[in-house]
Amino acid sequence: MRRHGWKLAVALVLLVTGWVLAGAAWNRSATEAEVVLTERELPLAPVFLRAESSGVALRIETTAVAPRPAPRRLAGDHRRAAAAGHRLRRVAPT
Amino acid sequence: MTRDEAQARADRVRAFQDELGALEQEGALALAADQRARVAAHHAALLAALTAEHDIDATGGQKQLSWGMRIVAFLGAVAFSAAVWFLFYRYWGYLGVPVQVAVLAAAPLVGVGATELAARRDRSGTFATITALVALAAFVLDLSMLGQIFDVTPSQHAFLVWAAFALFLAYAHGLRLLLVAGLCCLLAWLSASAGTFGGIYWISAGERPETVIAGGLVLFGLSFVPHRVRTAFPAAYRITGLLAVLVAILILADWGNASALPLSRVAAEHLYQVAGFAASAAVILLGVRRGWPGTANLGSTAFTIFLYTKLYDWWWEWMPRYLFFLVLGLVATLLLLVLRRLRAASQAVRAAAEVAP
Repeated sequence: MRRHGWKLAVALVLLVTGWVLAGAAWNRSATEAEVVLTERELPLAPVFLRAESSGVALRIETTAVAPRPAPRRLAGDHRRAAAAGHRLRRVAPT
Repeated sequence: MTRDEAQARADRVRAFQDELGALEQEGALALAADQRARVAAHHAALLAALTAEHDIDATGGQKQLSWGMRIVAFLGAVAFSAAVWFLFYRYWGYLGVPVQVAVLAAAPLVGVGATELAARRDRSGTFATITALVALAAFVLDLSMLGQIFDVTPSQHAFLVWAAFALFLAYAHGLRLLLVAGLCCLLAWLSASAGTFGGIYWISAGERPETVIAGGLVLFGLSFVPHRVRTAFPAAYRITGLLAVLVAILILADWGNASALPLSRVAAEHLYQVAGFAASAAVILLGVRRGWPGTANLGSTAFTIFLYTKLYDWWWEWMPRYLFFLVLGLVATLLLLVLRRLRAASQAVRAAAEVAP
């Protein structure tokens, strides 16, 4: 290790970088779908966020609409509240 | 002879010279003038040879200065690493992808070359520590930026690769700071892997501190692997592993919701409070028995923190402040008495071992 440590470190850098590049090449070897984006969908970040980085990155945020939750049954709650001596009444939304 | 062994020999020579002077002053020993001159000449030649070959600290003043140099080296390495990081971010948008990749891959290689050069020129390893840490930062930058450029799925295995890189450089040049950096990466990989094994997404593994306990125990186990050349390295494995375990237990003792065990929050907190006291007491005992001062100090510090945390939970709300702090002072005194007894016991064991042969 004392003599060959630096060779192992160099080999590791080359091997892992090569592995990542090979994976990227394989990933780009086929096109599944194309999306055309215009400047409307791609605003540049404000200048103060770009002061220390000259890179431009694209991040796509997807939104999925969750199913509406089923309305809660309140009858049981009413009965339990009445048994405990409370009276519940509906309050109009403000 | 390694640098650690050379330093230990120089320390023994200095202690011998001090003790010889004291014995002569007290009249217990009087060496003849020629004997004293022969020993002094031998020691002077020995220290000169050790200094020339291993760049050791021959005096107490040099040793203190070396500690200062190590701290400055660490701060310098952090600053250089930040500079490399921000330099790339500042200009990478003006470069094409092939140039970006070439720069990213070349930076750690240049760092490895600089480390090799620094280690040959400066045997103390101070400058090699700086260049090696910068090389590690460049390799971290390399993989994380390649991931961003080519949209690679994040994986915990990057930590294993960084750990291997840091450990190669640490073992090649005897750099303890690089070893600790590598062990931190290894701990992150072990914890994330333990998390994924339990069905957690690897980035969220830190939310279940039991995964860190598993990683810390593995590092502690690795400290028992014999090191013939890097004799100071097992202590770094031991301290890093035990520190990870104790910190994770401390978090779980106050945040039971994070536990992966099928227990209520309160039950998990009680379990880890007991485990914290037991573990830190066991670490103290292990350190005293094996003669590992760093381990014993870690255990004492952890035990004190566990105790003070509990005292705060129990008494801060209902005790008057003067009484609370008075109790803390009394507890500290009690702890000192217990530790003094432990110290006396370990001294007695050592004295008995010295008399036995």
